[in-house]
Amino acid sequence: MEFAGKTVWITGASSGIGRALALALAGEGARLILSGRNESALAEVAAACPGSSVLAFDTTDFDALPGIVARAEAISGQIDLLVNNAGVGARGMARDTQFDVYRRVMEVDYFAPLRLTQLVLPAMRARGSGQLAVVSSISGKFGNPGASAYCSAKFAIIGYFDALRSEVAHEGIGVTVITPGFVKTNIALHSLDAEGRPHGAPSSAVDRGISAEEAAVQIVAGFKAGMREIPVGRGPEMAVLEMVRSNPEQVFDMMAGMGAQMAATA
Amino acid sequence: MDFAGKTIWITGASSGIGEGLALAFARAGARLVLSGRRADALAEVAGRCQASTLLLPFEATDLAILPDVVAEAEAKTGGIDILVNNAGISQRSLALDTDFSVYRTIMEVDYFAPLRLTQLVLPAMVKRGSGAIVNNASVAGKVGSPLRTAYCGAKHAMVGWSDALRAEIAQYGVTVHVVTPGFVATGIAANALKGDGSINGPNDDPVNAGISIDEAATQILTALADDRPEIPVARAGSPELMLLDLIRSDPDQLFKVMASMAPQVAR
Repeated sequence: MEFAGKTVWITGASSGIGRALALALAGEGARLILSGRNESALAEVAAACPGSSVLAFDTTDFDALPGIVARAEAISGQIDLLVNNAGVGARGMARDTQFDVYRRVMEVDYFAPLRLTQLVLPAMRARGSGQLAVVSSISGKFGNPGASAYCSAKFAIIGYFDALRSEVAHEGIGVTVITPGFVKTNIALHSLDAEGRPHGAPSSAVDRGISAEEAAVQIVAGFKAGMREIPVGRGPEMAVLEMVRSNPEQVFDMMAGMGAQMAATA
Repeated sequence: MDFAGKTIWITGASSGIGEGLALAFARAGARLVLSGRRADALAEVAGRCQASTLLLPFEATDLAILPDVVAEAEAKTGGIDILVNNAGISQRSLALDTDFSVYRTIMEVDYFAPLRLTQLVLPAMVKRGSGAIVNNASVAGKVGSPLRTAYCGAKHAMVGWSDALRAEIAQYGVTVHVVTPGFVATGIAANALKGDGSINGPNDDPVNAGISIDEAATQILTALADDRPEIPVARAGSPELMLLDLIRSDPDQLFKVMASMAPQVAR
């Protein structure tokens, strides 16, 4: 798809991949609706994106979402592309992870983008056009140790979007699943630990990742090429995406090796 | 893995694949714990199992009672060797017509309930250094399919959780197996939820023409005996197995195939 004159709504736009994607799409001539919880951070991003609007809300405030969607549609006339980017990470071995953490991660990474998508869909269908996207993760494609809650939710949102794509493609609506590998953002710092507290520690793997700006370039190129799935990254983790298709049992063995190493160094 | 003398706990054991597994594991010499909501139906299945059988009926989504249920199962059997998370519920409705509450209900039954039960059963397995978790997902846990957005969400979640868990607990001698049935002739389509949360009811869904529960159980036991981490279940050469192959070999083509099914079910 091309972006000039299109309205793109991005959640989680105040930092990380969401912020970089906003700046990149503004450069393509898109009009942006920037969402997140941190209104002042959003305002800073908006200042660098001509013609953009700020719409601050909490994606898990489900009762408020119908009103939020009405406001977004009123701002722009129509949403051409929704990018469900807001999310939370989670780190911790399953045996240590409180059940409530599984619920919280599923709220933020699955139910929230699902509900927003559900509310944006009818207008796209009535119009016969539109694009729905979600930022999942490579952890939505293969299970890795220390991430059972995160993998669950990121797999789940891919399952929903793949099924949705099959239902709406013939109505002119596109669905895009984005699966970043390691991108240098604050995701590790904000990740929930086994007890549901912000993790607060950086991840060396994340810090060795590509920049959010480079991630945005890859995502924009993927949209332009009409890709249904956009992998984002260039480290060794991206090879696992191929391997889980060609030889899943080898990935299971590799991940079990990582799991043993994590337990030994914990 | 062998089954003789093992204690195997099956949820959703009163009908369908769970019933087929109970009968097959009994024939293989296992001791059974059978769970489901309907005590009378469980008793009927148990009556046909030539095996030591403990009936443990409970509502899978009443998560508050699960610690007591697990304690009872362990106390009465001396320990669970294999947990088969089989209970589940499907869906037949377009995303456009599906209440948000249906997404929550299906995630509760198909993901949170087996997750919580497993979380409670695992510590004894890890301590003992042996055990197996068998999660009955679906082809819909691998392939996004029309009329199943909620079901695909929940079953994908189960697969992601299972794959992550496997990586963590293999080192303790506990294995995780993901079963992905295609069409098996069970009540799953009749019991599926519609968009308003009501029960689908009798229908001519293609799943009804699938393989028998006995054949499904045979395929599952054969693969478990061979310690397979992923266990597809369907008729040889069936379209469901082709979809499982296609999402690995050419996912973009798979997406086109799935989208080609939509106009027939559109409104």
